[in-house]
Amino acid sequence: MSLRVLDPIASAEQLEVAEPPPGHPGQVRRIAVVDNHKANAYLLLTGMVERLERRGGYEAAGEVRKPQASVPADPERLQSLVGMSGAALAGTAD
Amino acid sequence: MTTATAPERFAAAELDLDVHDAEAFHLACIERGWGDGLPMIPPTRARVERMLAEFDGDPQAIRGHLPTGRGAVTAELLAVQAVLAGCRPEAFPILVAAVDGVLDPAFNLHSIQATTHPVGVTMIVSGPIVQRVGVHAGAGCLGPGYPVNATLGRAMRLTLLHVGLARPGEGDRATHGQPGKFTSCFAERADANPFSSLAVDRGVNAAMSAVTVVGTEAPHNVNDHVGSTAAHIGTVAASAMSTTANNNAYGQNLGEMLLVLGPEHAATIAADGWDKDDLRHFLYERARIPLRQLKIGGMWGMHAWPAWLESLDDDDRIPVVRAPERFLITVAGGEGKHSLAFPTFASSRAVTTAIDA
Repeated sequence: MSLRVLDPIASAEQLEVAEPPPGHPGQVRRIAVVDNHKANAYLLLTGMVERLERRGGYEAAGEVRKPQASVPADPERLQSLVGMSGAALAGTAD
Repeated sequence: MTTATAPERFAAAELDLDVHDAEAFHLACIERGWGDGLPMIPPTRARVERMLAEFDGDPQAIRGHLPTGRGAVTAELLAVQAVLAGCRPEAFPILVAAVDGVLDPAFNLHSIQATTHPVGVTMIVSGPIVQRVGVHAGAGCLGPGYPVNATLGRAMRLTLLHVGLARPGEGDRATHGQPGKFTSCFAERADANPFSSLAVDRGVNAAMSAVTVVGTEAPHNVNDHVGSTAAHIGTVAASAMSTTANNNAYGQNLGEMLLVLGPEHAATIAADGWDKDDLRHFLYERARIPLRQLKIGGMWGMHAWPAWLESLDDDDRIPVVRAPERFLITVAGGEGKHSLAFPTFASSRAVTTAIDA
C-alpha cells in the first residue's frame, strides 16, 4: 500500500558564487584568517596558514577579527580582506 | 560575492511512500532523515489543507529563508511540519507567527542553529488565543501532558530541521543539545499575573494575541520555599542567573535573561508593592558576577561588552545583562514556590510577533 504525503524538506536557496580572479603563475598567494574568537578554530586556521607557508607559494596576510563570536562579521571588515589578501580562511563554531 | 536567485513561490512535492501502517511510516521517515526521532503524523494533502484553512494568504509564497541551509519558508511547508508534529489546526497561526519571529535578523537564527551552545527556541504565547486554542499556562506547562504546548514547540523544531536544514552534527553543531530542542512552548498566565504581560511589555496591545520567541538554554530552577518578601525571591532568582558557566556572563552587548515567575512568587513580589520594573532593577543590581571570577575562564577574552564595563576593577561586580530592560519577565506555572530562570544564547534578541488569527 502506498501513502501519498507532502515532502517536508524545503528547497534551499541557490546562491551564485563569483569565482575569484585567477592568480598569475609564480605569484605568492596571501592568505588571511577571519578570527571568530574560538580558540580551536583559531588554532586550526592559523595552523593551516603556517602549513601553506612551509609548502611555499603562500604567505600569511594577517587577521580580521569578528566583533563577537556569534554574530556575523560586518561587511566593512570583510571588505578589508580584499585589499590585504587573495584568499581568507574562516571557520564556524569551535 | 554571492547573489540570491530564489523564486518567489515554492510548492511542496508530493511523494508516494510504500507504507501500510504507523510503524512503517515511522521507519520510512527515519530512512529519509526526516523528523526528531519520535513518531510523526503523515502529512497527507487533506491534513495539510485542514491546517491551511487557518491561514489567510498564498500558502506557497516564500516568507523568507531559514538558516543554516537557507530553506524557503512557505505556509504550506509550515503546515506540513505542523501535521507531522501533531498540531491542532487552530494552533497553526501561532506557528506561522513564531517562524516569522525567528526570521527577524535580530533573532540571529543562523548562529542559534549552527552553534555548539545548547540553545533552543522557547515560544511564549500571549493573549486571547491562549484560551481559544488551549495553550497551557498552568501547572507543568513546560512538561509533558499538554498536547498544544508539546506539538507547537515540536513543530518549531521540525521547521528548523526540515526547512532550516540544520540536522544535528551537520548544520546544527550543538555539543550536546538539550531536551528543550525537542519542544519548548508555554503560555503566559492571564488569571494569576499581578503584572503586565510580557507581550504588553514588548508593545503588543493587550487585546491582541502574540508569540515571543527566545533563544534559551534549559531552565534553571529558582527554588524559594521560605522567602516572604520580593527582595528574598529576587535574591534567589539572581543567584540562579549569576554563573560564569552560561553565555550571559560574557555577552552583555546582546544578552537577555528570561525569568518565568511561578504565580506564588509573583503574588509575593506584588504584595510588597513591586512592579516588574522594580524587580528588573533589583535583578540588575543583584545578578552580578565579580570581574575577578569572570577572568578565570568561561568566555573571557571572547566577551562582548559595552565599553564602560572594560573600565571596572577586579573586585567590581558585572551585571549579567547590560540594562534592567534586558530581563524578560512573565508569569506561568501552577502552585508551588518555584520560578524558572532561562539564560539565553546572549547573541540574539527575543522577538515578539502579533498573531494573525
